[in-house]
Amino acid sequence: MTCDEMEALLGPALDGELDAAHLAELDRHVAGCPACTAARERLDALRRSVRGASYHRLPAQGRAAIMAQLATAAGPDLRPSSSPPRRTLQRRGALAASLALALGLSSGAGFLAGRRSGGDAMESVLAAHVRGLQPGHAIDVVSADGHTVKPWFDGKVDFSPPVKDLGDAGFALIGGRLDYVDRHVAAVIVYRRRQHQIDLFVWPEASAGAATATIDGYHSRSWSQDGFSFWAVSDLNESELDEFVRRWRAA
Amino acid sequence: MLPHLDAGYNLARWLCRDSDLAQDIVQEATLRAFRFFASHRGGDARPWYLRIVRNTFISGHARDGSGTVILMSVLEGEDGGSLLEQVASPDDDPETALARLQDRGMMDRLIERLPVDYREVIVLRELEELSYKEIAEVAQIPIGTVMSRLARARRQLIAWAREPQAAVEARRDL
Repeated sequence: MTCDEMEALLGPALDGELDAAHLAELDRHVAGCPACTAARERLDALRRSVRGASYHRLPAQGRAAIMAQLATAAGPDLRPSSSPPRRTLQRRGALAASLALALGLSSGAGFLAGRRSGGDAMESVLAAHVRGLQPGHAIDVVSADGHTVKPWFDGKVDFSPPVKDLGDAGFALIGGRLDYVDRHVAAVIVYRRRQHQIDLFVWPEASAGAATATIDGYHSRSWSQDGFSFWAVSDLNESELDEFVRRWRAA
Repeated sequence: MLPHLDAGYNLARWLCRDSDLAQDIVQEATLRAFRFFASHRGGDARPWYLRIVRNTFISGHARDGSGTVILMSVLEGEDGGSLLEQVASPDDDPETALARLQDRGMMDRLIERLPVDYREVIVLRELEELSYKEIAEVAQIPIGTVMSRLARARRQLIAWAREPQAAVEARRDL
């Protein structure tokens, strides 16, 4: 292929959209072609610059306005009336269910209270969890000993994450790693039950709300405790994950 | 769609380039999404929601702050040509040219200067990190068009980056 044809592949290669055969061919070509090497470097540099551009986050008052609007939208059907006809009752149930779905929650209850941007954090934490499941990425320090895992974080993060041994409860501590989620550097304490890995993400944050979410078969629980925000994520079933959280909080 | 409010706002803000207007767009789009949620047939909700945000912008808010209608536009011929033709002078390595853009304000201005349909694919790809398929879904264009717009937008940004002064002047001409 010619340089022009190769150049057209540089973008898709950068974007991870190129199939393996073309990617191999491109790599071979670029390795021996200074012009294409320079073009690829320009694209790489551009990406770094563009990804440094502003990510505009919804201001708090905009978020509040949307919440209020959604509550109003759901309002007329949710408002109690003296003798609701059967149809209204059914509609009410359907609306509540669709609201819960629309909000992306496994349980619609209580979202309006303090679940600010939990979804973003959840997606970020989930992505980090899945990334951590890839071979070679799971654990930076392998140890079943909390006295080894906890000091490992010293000097790597500017806080000291609580590390608890839940071996007696059937949740084996297997190690820890660092990750970056939702714009926080997080300490990740890794546990295992049977073949399921449980990642516990920890970062200092005074008052994050509690949240429950399920995405793509992964369950998560988040809570605040002792000045830290915690996210437990696993493909373990929900009741055992709840048990993990309960044991951890009580330990 | 609540987990995606920031993504919706980010897209709206980049499309309309105005904070207040972007909040209006997201608010309207979120209400629409809520009402149409029954039409969401599974899959990832984010592209689906971003598509509603994008359509809300196009249908009702495709105006900039001065009230001028922003039409879907073509990037005129001056997009810097092929990446291969952007031959670096010996003392101007790509890092140097693009390092000038490490200043976030400068990069923001260059992206804002792109015609809106090119800006859209760049923002969806680089800031939302959507796949080509997802971008095609949001912008309702074929994947081939996603690729060609991305390529042209990138060439244009590199060309501007290498001549920041020319870029500033180009801005005045718009």
